[in-house]
Amino acid sequence: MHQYSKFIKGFCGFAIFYLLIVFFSNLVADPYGIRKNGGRVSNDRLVKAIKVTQIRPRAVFLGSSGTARGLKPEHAALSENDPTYNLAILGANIYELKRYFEHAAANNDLETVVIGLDFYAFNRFRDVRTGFSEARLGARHLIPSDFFGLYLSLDSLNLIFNPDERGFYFAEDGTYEHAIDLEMKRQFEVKLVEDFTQAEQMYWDFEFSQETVNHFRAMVEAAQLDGIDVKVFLPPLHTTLFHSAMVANYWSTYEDWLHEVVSIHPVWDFSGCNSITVEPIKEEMAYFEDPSHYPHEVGDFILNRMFDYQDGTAPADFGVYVTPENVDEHLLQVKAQCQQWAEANPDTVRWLGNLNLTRHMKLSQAGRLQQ
Amino acid sequence: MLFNSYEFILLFLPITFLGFYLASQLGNRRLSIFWLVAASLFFYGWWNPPYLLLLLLSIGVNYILGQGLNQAHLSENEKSGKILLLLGVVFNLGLIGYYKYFNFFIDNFNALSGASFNIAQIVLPLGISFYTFQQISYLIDSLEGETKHYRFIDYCLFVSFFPQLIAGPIVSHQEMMPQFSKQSKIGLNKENFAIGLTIFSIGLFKKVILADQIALYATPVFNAASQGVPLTLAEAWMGALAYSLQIYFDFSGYSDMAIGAARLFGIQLPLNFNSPYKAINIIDFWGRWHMTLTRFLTRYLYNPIALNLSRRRVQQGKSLIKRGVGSLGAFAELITLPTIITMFLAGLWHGAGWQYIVFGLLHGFYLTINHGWHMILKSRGYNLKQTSWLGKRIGQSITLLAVVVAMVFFRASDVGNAMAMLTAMVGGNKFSLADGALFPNHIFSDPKIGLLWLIVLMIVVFYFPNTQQWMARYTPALNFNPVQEIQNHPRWLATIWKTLEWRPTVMWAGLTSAIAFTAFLGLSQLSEFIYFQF
Repeated sequence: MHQYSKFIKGFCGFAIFYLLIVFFSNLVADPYGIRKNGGRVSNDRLVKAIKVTQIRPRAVFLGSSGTARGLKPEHAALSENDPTYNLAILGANIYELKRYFEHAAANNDLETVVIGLDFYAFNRFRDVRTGFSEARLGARHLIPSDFFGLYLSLDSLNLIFNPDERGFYFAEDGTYEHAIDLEMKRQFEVKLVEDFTQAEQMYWDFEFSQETVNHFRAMVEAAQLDGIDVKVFLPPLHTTLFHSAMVANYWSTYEDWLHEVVSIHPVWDFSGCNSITVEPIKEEMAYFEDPSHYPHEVGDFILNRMFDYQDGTAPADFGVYVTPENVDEHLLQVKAQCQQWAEANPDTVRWLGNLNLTRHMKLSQAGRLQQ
Repeated sequence: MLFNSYEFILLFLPITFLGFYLASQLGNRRLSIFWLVAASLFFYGWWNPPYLLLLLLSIGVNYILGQGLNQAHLSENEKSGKILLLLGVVFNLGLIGYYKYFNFFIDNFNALSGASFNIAQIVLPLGISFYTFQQISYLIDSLEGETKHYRFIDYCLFVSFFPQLIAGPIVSHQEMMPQFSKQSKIGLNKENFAIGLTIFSIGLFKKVILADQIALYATPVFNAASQGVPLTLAEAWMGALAYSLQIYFDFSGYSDMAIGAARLFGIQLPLNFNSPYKAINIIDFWGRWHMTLTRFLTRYLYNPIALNLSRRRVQQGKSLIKRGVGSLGAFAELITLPTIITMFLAGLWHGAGWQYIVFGLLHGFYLTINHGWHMILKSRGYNLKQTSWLGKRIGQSITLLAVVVAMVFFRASDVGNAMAMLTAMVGGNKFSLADGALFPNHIFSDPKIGLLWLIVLMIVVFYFPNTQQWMARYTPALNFNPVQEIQNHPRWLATIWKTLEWRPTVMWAGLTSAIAFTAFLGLSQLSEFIYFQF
């Protein structure tokens, strides 16, 4: 029996030894950027859930990557709400937005929430993204599974040994910058095609349901109940994307969707075909980094408009306050502006046609009919 | 609760072990058994509490019927015994039929008749196929009065013991109940703990590191096939081989974890998985893959059918099979028919889907050919035990190929998708060796890494000893014959592995601990065992 006793002691001793090595290596190397930065962008759902409990902001921005890259919490209009945190997570669907709002509200004395609403976030076929975990939302401290993931996992070891795989980090305020290597027109081509693929679940097979709308309603109602000021906006999309997705393919769905949204809460609409979004695609662009991401100069215009700050800095047609009363008129105007743009830019429309973006959608619809 | 989860490894197992230890210290065996039953029921209820009632109902009804059968045997009342047995079998098959096959039956009825019966999707209770089979065997043996001394609490543990409850092994009451008796060695000692810990760690490593990694090269291929992507020959083979290895390490890992976890408490489970891809023919394969299912089906299905058919042939004055040789008619009736029926039901047991039925029938067909071939060889005076080295390798290759083809049906979402995969595997789609033409669909992030994984895992499968062989000195499982296993290895390899056998030394403690810790690091990516769905 003595030999078994030695074996068991040896097993436990070695296990503790391995455990300490891996734990302290992770602590020192900090591959997820939890201590040294605002967290690794590829683990956005994990790191932002942790950061928001640490920072305890009084104002948060919610939305997807467009909001995360474009809206700076340091904006002067929000100085009274310091600290402000950009809680936007990449490619979030509306359920994820609702849960992250609840998480932020549960942990902090939240006063203001700015929500960037994406049409695709309401696609009922769009699942929560990899890395989303119900268990961590609402928790005040690091939950055990996240602790193991961060400090005792093969993934973290892999990041220690392969620094190239770490990618980008968020800044402490939750924003991030994304370097682009491609030539701008090619960047637009790649991103437009990607947005229509099945893998992205954005404009491929779009169907919005009452369930997704209910998530938005629940979020707004909960905020109002807690006395939290809610501001909602539709982010600017470059006209090439807005025209291809909303105008050319999903117009009536888009109309229904916007009616539903404004019946819950008025929105500031920065999308459509306005003087910012129709910027011609060229190598040096002032307002866009790709079809759905804009620099913080545009983000500043958005915050200026919504918070009525430094009136007159943004173009007059950028940002329309849409309510149930003016939604029909607004939709007519958006469509007319986009048609005008299409007529004035036949070369761009032809280029879009050659990208054959709807091919994937038609394939998917054929697949569904066969079933 | 999954074996490969933090809550099982860090909470459930240590707490259960601690409770068992305290009960053992009190010297009360019944209390120890009771504690294990309570822990097992908690383990089952963790997943879906309402279905715990179903398990308890099944245990209660079967125990009462079993006692009734024993009474009938004592009073030599054969008729009431048979009625009770029929009731029991109908009850068990009724439960499994409703929960597992009712949706499938309605869907097919609708498709055939054009009707549109619409019922809510029934959630399959975990482990129902396993605990139902265990209890059917208990009832059948109760008819012979074999189970009359069984206490209810022992019976509860026999059915619900958490290491084997969800996905086997399908244990027999004959091998489990004696272990719960006063004379048995059940209980805590350091030897059991060290051996159990080692076997559990190896199983965890197989599941978390090997099966889950190779799955990254199997799942996307089958998903692509189900979306109608025309796969190339290389992509389809990569997917089929990767899945064959995934299920191998998944099931092998699960079986090891079950055996290891049980051994912590001094309870030995039967061997369920014994290097099946080393099998030299398909009969050998089924003696190594899911061995306890094969044992159950042979005992309670194949043998009774074959026996009845033999009696009928005798009554009709027809010949039987003697020493493995017989007429074509005898072969068709006494081997082909029972084999096809048994394997059809084995296929259906795995799930309610036509792809599982095809899987079962395909294996029935393989087994029939295998038996036929053996009969031809025997009729020509050939001794099957003296197969040459080359003959064994040829047999092994054909067997593996046949198994991989059947695995495609096992994994595919339906028969159509399996056929699409097989078409691609025989080069039915475009085939080219040009640069970039092998993997044009970008299914894998890096096909070269996938290929490397395939090669490494195949070396492990074909040339490494399995867990039981590595620990052969320490009775690692019931029904394990170490002598026979060593004979199957080439002498030089057997010598190497003999020197590297596991021993309770500090060096092996370091290695075992490294295996366990590496697997623990992989737990952050949770995935279910394939056999949980059956």
